[in-house]
Amino acid sequence: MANYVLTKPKVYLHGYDLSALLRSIGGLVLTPAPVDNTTFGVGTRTHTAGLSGVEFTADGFSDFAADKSDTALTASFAVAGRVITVGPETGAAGEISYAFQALQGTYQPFGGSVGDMAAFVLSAGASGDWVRGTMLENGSFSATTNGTARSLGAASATQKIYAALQILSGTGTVGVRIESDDGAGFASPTTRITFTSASGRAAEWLSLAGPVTDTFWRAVITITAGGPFTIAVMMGIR
Amino acid sequence: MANFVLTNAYLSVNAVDLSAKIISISVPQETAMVPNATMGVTTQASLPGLLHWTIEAELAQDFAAGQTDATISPLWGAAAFTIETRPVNAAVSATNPKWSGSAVVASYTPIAGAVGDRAVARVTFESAGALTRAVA
Repeated sequence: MANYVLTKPKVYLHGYDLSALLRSIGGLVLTPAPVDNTTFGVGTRTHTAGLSGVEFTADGFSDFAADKSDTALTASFAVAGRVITVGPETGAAGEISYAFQALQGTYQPFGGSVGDMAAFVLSAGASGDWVRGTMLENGSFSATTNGTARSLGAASATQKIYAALQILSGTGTVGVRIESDDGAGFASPTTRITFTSASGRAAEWLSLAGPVTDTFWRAVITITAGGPFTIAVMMGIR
Repeated sequence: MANFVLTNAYLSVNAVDLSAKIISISVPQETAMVPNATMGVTTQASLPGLLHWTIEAELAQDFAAGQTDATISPLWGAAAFTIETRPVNAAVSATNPKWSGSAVVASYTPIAGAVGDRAVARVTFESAGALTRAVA
C-alpha cells in the first residue's frame, strides 16, 4: 500500500471494539530499550537492543452506555493480560495487524472544558508479548467457516507463533482455531492453536513455540450454537 | 447514553458542591507499571502495581463564603476529605456513574490569569484512598 490517511483504524480491547469511539491514537510505540555496550578503544558510544517495550495511547469520546467506552475501559484498568489488537489501516482480513498482552495503566473516564465533548484517555503497556502479524479474519460469522489460506511463512525453532482472538459480539457457542498446511489448498491441515470455546464477548492471547515448517495459515471458526459472531483473529510469527 | 458534550459536570469537595464553578475537569486514573521481566523473555512486561488517581479541575475563582476559595484553601495541607465527581450533575445511574474517594489537595493555584482574564483557580486533588466507581 502507499502512504495513507488514518481514517479507519481498528482498535479492539479485550472483546470491545473501541474504533468508533476514538478520535485519536496517540501511538502504538515499540520501544526496544537500547543497552549501552560501549567498550574501551571505540570513539563512539554504542548500543545493542535490550528488552522491547510497548506503549499504546488513545483518546476518544466518553460513552457510559452499556458495553461502550466506560464498560470496556473500567473492566481492563489495572488488569494484566488483556488483549489489544490494532488494525492500523482498516482492520480488514489480510491487512497488517499488531497485538499485545496489555496492562491498561491509565484511564481517564471523562474530562474536558465546559462545552467540549466529554473525552476519555487510555494508555497501556505490555504485560506480556507483542507481535506484528496479519489479520486472518475480521467480520461477522453465522456459520462454521474455513478462513482464507494465507502465506505467512514458517516459524523457526527460535520463533513463536502468536495469535490474538477478539470476539466482539454474539451469543451461542463458537470455537476458533488456527491451522497450518504446506499448501494453499489445506489438503492436510494441522491445528496449531485452539482458543477456548466462547459463548459471547471474549478475548484470548495464545502462542506456540516453533519450529513449524508449514507456510500457509488460516483461521477456522466453528459455530455450534447461536450466532452470528463478530470476530477478529490475527496471528504473527516473531 | 451516547457521546455527549460536557456542559453540566458535577464536583463535590468536602461536601461542598462546586459544580457551578467548573471550567474544566478530568479524572485520570493510573496504575504503576511494575517491571516483571525475567530471564528468557524479550519484552519488558509489567504487572499492575499501586493505583493512583487525581481529579484535576480549573474553577472559576470566587472568594465569597462557601465558594471556591473558601472551600479549597482550608483543605490545603489538611487531612483527607471526600471528593466526588460525575459526568452530569444529575442523579447517579448506570449511565451517569460517580467516582468518589478520599483525597488531599496536591496543588492549589488560587490566582491565575492575565489582565482582563476571568479569575480562575486550578486545583489538583490526589488520592488518599481508593477511588470508587458507583452507579447508584
